[in-house]
Amino acid sequence: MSPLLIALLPLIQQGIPEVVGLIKSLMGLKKKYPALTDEQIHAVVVAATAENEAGFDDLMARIAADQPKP
Amino acid sequence: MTRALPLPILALLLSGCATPTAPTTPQAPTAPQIKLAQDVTVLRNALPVALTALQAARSAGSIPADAVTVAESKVLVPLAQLGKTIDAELVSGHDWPTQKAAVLTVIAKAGISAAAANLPAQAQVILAAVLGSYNTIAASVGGPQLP
Repeated sequence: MSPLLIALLPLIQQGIPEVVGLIKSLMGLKKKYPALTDEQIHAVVVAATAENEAGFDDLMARIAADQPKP
Repeated sequence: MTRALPLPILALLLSGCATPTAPTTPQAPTAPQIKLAQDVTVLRNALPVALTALQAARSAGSIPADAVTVAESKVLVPLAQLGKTIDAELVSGHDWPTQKAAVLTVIAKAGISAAAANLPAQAQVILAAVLGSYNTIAASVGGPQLP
């Protein structure tokens, strides 16, 4: 894994907007220069999934609050 | 003495001489892990919209409360859990064949099909977008899709 990616990974997982934007730009590069490394693909995936967990948790909390109590 | 070609025939001949266009480079396919991550994000965005619509329909009396309860607990929650599980697998660092097999297993266990089929028609209409997202995810790993 490249030193850059090691340094970026915690920031990506925190969903830092600028880092997420950087990674999204890599997604465009993937189309233009198809030979992205596995590390680069992994970084893109981490960025794309960074916000999902909070969204899913929020939904489940809303549903739990809405469900009839026994 | 040669005769000049009539103008319409000359135009017809020249129209066939199209300017050659430069060959375009076909767009490289997106890595399957990236596409699947994007598909899960689409699902994540669609779920709260469906939840809000179900609750509004219940308030309006157009969907029974117990049907909304079932839709929430048997469709929306499993879909959210599926999304989280897929995301966790995608960031695991496993190779794509391993990830694909793991996602396929999770999809098979989710049991979305049976739950969705027994809901009232209006609930199924509201859930169409999230179920469509589910089908897109299932298709990306070669899994069974909902009718």
